[in-house]
Amino acid sequence: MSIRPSPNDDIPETSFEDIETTLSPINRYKNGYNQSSPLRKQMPPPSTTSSESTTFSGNGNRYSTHTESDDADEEGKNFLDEFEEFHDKDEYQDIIKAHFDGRKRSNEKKTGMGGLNAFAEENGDNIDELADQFDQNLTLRARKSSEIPTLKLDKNAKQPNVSLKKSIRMPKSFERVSRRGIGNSRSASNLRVNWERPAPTNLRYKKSMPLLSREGIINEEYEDNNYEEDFEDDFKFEKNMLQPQFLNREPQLKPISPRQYTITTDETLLTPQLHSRHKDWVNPSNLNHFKEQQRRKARESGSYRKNRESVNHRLKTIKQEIDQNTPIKKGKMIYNPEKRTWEGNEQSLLRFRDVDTAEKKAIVITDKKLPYSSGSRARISDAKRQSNPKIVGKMMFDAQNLQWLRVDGQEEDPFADIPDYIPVTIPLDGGPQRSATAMIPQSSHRDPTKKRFSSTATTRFHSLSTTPYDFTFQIDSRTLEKFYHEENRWSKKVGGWFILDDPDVTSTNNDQKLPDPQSKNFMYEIRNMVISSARN
Amino acid sequence: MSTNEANVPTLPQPKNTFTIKVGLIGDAQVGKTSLMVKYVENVFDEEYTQTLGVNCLDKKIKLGSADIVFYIMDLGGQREFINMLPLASEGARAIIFLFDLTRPETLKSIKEWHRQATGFNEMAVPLLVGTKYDLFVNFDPEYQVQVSKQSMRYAQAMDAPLIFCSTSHSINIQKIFKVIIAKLYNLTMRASEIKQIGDPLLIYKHLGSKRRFSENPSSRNSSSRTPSPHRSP
Repeated sequence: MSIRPSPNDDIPETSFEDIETTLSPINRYKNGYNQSSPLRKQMPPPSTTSSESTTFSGNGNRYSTHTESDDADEEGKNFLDEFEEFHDKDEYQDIIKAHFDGRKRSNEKKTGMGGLNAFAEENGDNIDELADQFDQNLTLRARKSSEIPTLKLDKNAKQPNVSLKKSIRMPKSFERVSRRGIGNSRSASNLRVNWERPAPTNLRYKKSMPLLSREGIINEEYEDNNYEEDFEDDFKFEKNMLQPQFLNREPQLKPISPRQYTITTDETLLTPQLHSRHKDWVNPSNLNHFKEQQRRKARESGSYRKNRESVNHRLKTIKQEIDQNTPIKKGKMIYNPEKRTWEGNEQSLLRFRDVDTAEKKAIVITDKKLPYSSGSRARISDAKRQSNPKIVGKMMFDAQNLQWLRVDGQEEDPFADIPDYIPVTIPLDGGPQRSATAMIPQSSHRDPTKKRFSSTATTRFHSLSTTPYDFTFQIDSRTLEKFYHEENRWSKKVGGWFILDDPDVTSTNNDQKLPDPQSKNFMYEIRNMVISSARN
Repeated sequence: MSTNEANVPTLPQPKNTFTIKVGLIGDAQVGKTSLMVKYVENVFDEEYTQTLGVNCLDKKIKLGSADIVFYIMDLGGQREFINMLPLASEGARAIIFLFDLTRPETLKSIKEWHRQATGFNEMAVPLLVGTKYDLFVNFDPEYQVQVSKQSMRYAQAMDAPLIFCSTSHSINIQKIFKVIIAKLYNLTMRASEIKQIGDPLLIYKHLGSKRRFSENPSSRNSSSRTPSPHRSP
């Protein structure tokens, strides 16, 4: 296999040899033992390389997982005892099973590997199941790809040419994020790709039923996708107005006066987890205080040498014989043989940006207690009579009321002419008993004492003509006539829905007023009525 | 009935093996191989032996019905071996970045090691380990303060637990691998943190807890029919 860099990113460049996976000694003398070297089953090959280029050095013995039963058992108990979840528990088995297996399964669910690992546990009995799982995963992945053939999109295009409604169009930078947003669009449905679309409900709409749920449906009203032009069109401004002189200048930060504040460097803010030393420094003589307990029994004499030999025996070294001047590409990283470094992933260095810069110092700004020096300022107000006022520029701090006041007392109130409150309601020509009108459906119970009923929906036109407070719009007679006919048509359609024998309503006849504009309850009443009538 | 049951040999419980690949990365002579050998074999050798490539050792810990196998890969710190970095970092569930507490320049180069290693594996739990703590305590207190603070900043930037260890004096060696287990399986370690400057720092609770492993299927298990532990030849 060539180790030369490949221009195709999809094909991983291999630079190292797969570690030999058939070396387990267990397989040699334990038939039917499925546990093999962890190199083979329990992890992917640590790396890839050309088989000619890397060799195992050391002894000729085969690789094995090192376990010393007594030590491992004992260490395992100690190991578990170190965690709160297993501390002082005699029976580890169930907890281990619950904890590790549970976590594993949850992880598998997240990673979509559940089927594969389940398959592994069953030792390959269920190939069909695995195939299904794989097929499912593959399908899922394909659906998320923008290059599936059924989409019939241009592979070279960066964004799928899906038209969105103008009102929901967003900057291009957000389009990728908002993929889910096109799930309801007709464009999306035409693509036959069910992008996490909710399952269709069984609710069918009648013609007379208000299509409240259709508000989210996106119609293909506009085919153009030029967001920026629309953005400018909506504002109707002249581009030549955007001159630099109209832009606000960046406010300049004034240096903090050391006369008023105490500024100290406090690096402990950057490392809050570290505690400063408050006892004697550690000497080499008392290092044993931190020594970890020996997990193994005292060994007999000469064990060290044996141990050392055991290490040399078991320690595998993977050497490379490929030329280290060979450039390698692996994922997003490219090996630069001249610099002997892997290039790429530069953004991770941003994390350390502030670590090494000496300029970045955490400072603490505290109040400096200034001696009271200016006797003339004490005359201004009660707040200013305090013994030690803090003055910054023209402003003096009133510590009693926790506010800043002008030193010269020339407080200007730009809001002086604005009343503190606005009258909440302006009654129309009716009395207050008519201000809170609302409709109730025919089938509902009506409380005559509260006078909440008014069938205003049928008389909106008339109320418009009699509203004396509407100075905003000038409606010509032609428009009013149009309104009149539309209103009549509407009244004819829905007039029978409401009780019109209310004394207020009948007496005022065409002079009914608009319902309380704040209350939209009558809309829900209409909706409920329509739904109930549709069911019947 | 009961006699029949007595005659039936008890079936061994299935064992799950969780393999955790751990990569050891850092400058030359910071003590990567020593740490690995110390943890696996409890042996420390003052004599320096250069790693000519990638050293591999594994260590199995029996946890009741489950086995955890640490498969440790130690990359030679010399530049000439850096093209083997994928071998140590790819597929690893934890990457230990080691620096020598007595050589601040080894801490500074952690930035580059981190950049390159995370380029191959962003999901691994990183650990920042300062070695040779037994020599570090001989240094000037001000030096200890500065190194401790700077390493803490690095640990925060990397979101990595920070551990000062001494291989020769068996300080915090086991803790390193327990922290790995705690982070990978979201366990709560009982060991209290050591935060005081000058002590062998062990700061892990709020670092390295991001769910990096959620998309890393490298941990696989295999069922075993043999309940008895096996010995290596």
